[in-house]
Amino acid sequence: MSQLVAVFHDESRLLAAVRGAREQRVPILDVYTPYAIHGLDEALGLRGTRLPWVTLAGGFCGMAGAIALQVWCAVVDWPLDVGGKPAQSALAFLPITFEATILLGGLATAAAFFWRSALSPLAEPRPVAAGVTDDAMALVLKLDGTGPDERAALHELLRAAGAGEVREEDR
Amino acid sequence: MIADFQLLRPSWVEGRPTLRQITDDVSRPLTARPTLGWWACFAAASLALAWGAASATYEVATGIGTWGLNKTVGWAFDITNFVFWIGIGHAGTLISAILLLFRQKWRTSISRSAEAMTIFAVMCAGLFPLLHMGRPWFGFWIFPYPNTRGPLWVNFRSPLVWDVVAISTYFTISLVFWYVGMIPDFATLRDRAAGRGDRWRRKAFGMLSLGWDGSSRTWSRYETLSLVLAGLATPLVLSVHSIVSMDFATGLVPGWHTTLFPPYFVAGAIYSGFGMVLTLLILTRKVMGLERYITLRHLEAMAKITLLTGSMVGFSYLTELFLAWFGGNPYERAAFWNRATGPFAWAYWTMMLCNAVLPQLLWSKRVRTSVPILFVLSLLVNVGMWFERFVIIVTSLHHDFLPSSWWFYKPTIIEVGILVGSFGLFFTNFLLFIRALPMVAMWEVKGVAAAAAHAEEAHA
Repeated sequence: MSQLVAVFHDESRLLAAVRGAREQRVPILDVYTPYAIHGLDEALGLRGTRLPWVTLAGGFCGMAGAIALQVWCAVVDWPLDVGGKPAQSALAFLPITFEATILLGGLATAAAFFWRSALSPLAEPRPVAAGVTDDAMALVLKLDGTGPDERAALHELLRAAGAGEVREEDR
Repeated sequence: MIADFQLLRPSWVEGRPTLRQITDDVSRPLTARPTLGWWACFAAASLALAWGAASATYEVATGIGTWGLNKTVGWAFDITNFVFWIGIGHAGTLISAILLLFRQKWRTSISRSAEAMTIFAVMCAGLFPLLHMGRPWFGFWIFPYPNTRGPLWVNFRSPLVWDVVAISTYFTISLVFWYVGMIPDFATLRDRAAGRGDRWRRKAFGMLSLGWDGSSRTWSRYETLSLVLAGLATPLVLSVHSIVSMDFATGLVPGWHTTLFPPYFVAGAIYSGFGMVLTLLILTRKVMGLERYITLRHLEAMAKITLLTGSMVGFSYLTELFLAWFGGNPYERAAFWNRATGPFAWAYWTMMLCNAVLPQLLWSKRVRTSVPILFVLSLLVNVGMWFERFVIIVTSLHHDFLPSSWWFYKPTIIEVGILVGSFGLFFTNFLLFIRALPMVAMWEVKGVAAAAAHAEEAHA
């Protein structure tokens, strides 16, 4: 697969290039940046992430699990009389239920994020351009199926947008 | 419009550094040789830690009898220190989570170190209940797990069990939030470590950065994850100190049995935490040469939150006093009279001075922008908040309902040693942190600096 990598050092130029490429309907493979650029999601037309649903599911499991554990331990398995309080003292079970909801919601979201973004201690990073974790931003366009004229026009577009470096590569 | 609005405010980063300069400024201390000042602080902190370790070892080997506790005062130094350290942690979560939700840009340069402070403070706090168990190797008994004793379960109606769950959750979520926040910076450090002598550094940061490559899709999910974690940490942090306060408020002891405790404890926790953040950052910005990122405006903003929460604490003190008088409960009234005029009156008035009176100086801009005065005030905030917990715990216990059991409490050298040791642990950890990890969130500061630069360009 051949691709075109354009390196920028300024977020407004990068955004201009992204918009230009989208207008010309060139498929954008990805953009690599050292920080989260405001407005890049919209410019790329990225779909919103579904991570909050994982939070909801994890939180619900935490809540249900905590209620089940407390009721089973304190009411079913061994009802212990503490100061004559009823075994099923639901209000007193609330704090632990709340904490478990938060804990599982948070951990599930983080785990889903790592899994979905394929982040792991063994993952080998393959930087598309030097400095994308420092001060450079790289726009990667898909070149397959474009003719030489179109490629030249693309180079022109990216240069005009202010790219510092434009190169083609095969992956 | 947005650009104009932003232009009205001066930038949170001084001198408009380029993106590469930000990387350099923050990463430099990690590879440079430690300064003499750092070694001096590290030596003092390790010495304190060693003293604490020796005291704790002696206590565990001999028994709780090495502490000054007696049949009347069964809780004293240990719980004071526990509540003190948990409280310190709260400012870190406030800065990293609550200010993120409120979109306060000034949090970016201080959030990383404040979160580190949270984690180290919770570690210190956890030591005290563990040591108070006397046989810390049975510490796992506080968790509900199937056991051969019945199985006998923990009492889920007890605030002490709530505390265990709240604090373990708080520690876990804070740790995840802290680590996730560092991943992009780990990638930056991994890619910087390209030299020949950097193999191990590159390997370590390579593992820690999880193969982060700055992809826009990952960034998009990453920002959602940060928001979710902040949204979860915000009610969590409020719940943690509320539950800590219930350790007292659900008891019948005069001076403890009040519904005011949860909000009063949360305000006090944030107040003491900001005192500690100010102490730490005033020192580290100087030692690590980060004045450009942790500016006087940051210190002033933190001073304003200290003033706000300090006023809430002062108001709570007055409410407590008023209700002790107005409520008509003779035990409550006696407890507060004893606090103000009894054998621990000096502690009570130290607390009043440091927490209710002195923060009021922060109304003056001259005070808020003077680094030496802020430093002294931040130390006094912590002294005051430590004494607040001491006053609440010891003065209420030593004069309980039965005059025949009234007793005095005096800490032993072992208890003092463990307190000093907890400071040693905290500062040792913090000093290692500023040497080993990026203490300013580079990617967040880059975002703020770039946005400020573009706002100016758009206006020009």
